[in-house]
Amino acid sequence: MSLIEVKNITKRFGHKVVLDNITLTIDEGDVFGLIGPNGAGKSTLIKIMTGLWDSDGGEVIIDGYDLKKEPLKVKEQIGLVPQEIALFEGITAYDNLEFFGYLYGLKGRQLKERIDEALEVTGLKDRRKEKVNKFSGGMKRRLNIACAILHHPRILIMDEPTVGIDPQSRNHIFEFTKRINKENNTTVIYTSHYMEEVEMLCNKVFIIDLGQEVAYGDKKSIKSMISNNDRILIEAFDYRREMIQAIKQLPGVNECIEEKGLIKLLADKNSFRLEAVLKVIESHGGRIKSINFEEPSLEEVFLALTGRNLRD
Amino acid sequence: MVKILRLSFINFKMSIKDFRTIMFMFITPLTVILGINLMVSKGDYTVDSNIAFNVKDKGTYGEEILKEMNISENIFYDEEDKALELLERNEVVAVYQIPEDFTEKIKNGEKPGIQSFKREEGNTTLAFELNLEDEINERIRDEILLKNGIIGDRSELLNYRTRTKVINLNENKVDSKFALAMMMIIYFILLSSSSMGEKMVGMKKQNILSRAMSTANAGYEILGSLCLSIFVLQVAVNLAILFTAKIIIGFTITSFYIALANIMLTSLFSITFTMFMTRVFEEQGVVSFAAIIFSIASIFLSLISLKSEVFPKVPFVIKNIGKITPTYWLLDSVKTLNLFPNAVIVLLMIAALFSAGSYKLKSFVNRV
Repeated sequence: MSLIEVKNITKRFGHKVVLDNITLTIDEGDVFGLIGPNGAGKSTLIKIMTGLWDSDGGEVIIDGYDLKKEPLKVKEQIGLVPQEIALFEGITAYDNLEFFGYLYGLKGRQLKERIDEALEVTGLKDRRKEKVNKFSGGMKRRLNIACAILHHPRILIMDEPTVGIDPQSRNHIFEFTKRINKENNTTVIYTSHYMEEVEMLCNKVFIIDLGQEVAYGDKKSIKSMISNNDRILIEAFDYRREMIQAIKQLPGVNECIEEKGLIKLLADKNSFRLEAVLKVIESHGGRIKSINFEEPSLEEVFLALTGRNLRD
Repeated sequence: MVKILRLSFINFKMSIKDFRTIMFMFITPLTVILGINLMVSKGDYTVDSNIAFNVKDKGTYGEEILKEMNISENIFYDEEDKALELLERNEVVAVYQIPEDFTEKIKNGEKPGIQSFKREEGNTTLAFELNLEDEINERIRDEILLKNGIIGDRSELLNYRTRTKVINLNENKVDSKFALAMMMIIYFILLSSSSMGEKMVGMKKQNILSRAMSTANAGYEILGSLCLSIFVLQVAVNLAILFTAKIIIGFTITSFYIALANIMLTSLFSITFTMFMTRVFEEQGVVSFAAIIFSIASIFLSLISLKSEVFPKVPFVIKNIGKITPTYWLLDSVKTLNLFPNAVIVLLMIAALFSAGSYKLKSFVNRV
């Protein structure tokens, strides 16, 4: 059984449907990417999954508990990193963590240990006694995360955690996300409109646009949705000019061009055989330096499936 | 309940960490109480120095009455020009002329006429004039009692007057400085609705409430703990103000239980009022402004209702409208040292506001 089951979730604001029959499942230990442009419905779905908003239809079941019937049982397992910074600005980082620790039911020595741990993993230990209003945007984002992991949640939901921050803090958040997933087997739901982040961190992806599912599955299967072709880049030298024409004649090769010493092939996944290409290069006196298979990016997948760029 | 207490504790802890707010909560009312007390203790009438007197009385009653009223400045004896000169220079707002036959008329049981000179009509001297009237009436009554043999001599008159005073003391045995301190405390607790409302709307805007909603706590637990922590903080700080004022000014806390009950009732009202306001108005500035207007208006209307005899020209409706405000019943409770029916009426007001103003935290957080 999956850890998280979202079944036929629908949400309307007046006559406008912002989530249209969304269904997905997430297994324990997944790093699940929820991606789409601004206004696609990502945050609405997150708010429904965390019980902040009610849906107009469908159900959310987490670890067997129905969110509508047993909301507190569900919430016990969730740590939410909201898109907007949710911190007291006038008090210290430590005091913020203490406050949210109490809300998670922690107390005494355990609370102190968890605060220290959260400060450590988010790299804020040295700034614990500083007031939040003196923090940079990136530090606030990290503290925003620290507040969500105090109770060691089974599910960490990170809603656009890298918006408006410096590269150093962004890297820190990536490293943290990988680490908490690997070391604690925490299931992470990561929403972003930066495809490269999701591409790097997530094993499963749900692409949403205008409240509807665009694509859903593991990264490979999603990418295969837009093309049956592989893109192969071969770096070779000392070959004779007619070699390009010879490669083009091979079965499964749909396109072959030469660009600054780089041979770019577009080849059919089913009928293409790399050995045949290598033989042609050898027979034309060429020597191979490197061979790379290039997958389409999620950005390209989104473009192919919706006809527009993610940040349009 | 344990959960609410635990969450109240952390909310309370967060509040006291904001040292500036606590000092503001403590110092501002205390300073105002001390300042007003200083002004009032200078004399029975704050308009003293703005009034001049020209005493032409050939007897002694004119001078005696002024002395009884603690008036010692700007008194001239048959020097009308000098007194009127002060009025012309705008140094006083009125000149009262005590006539030659003032004592004689009182002794004959007649009411003497007092001529007054003012630059313009107004209520500034109204309180003084009412008190002067009272003093004259009392003197006339004493003379009539003597003249008609109802009392034999002056000492008996004194006894009689003392007895009369005893009845008054029973009605007003509350230390006036204590009552003043309580009035200011009640006013400032009501005024704090403004900052409380700002805090709640602020917590919503800072997304603290929505984040709290994502934890395994019910909405009523989060909201209840927030209100309980504010209640405890308000009661503690205002009791501290009362005791500090008592030490500095030296008044008697006539009834601690009445003081405590009224502070608690005011705080409860203030909290439910804040909830009501945040439900009606979502904007921080509007909540704050509405709370300030309500606090000032309710204390003003209550005072008019409680001291209606001082404002003879105020319409009947205005004199009585104060009775629908909680401050009227709270101040009346302090004045009469009665909790019944005052506390019940205030509790009913709180219950009405609570049912009108209570809301699910989820809907408050999610309203745009």
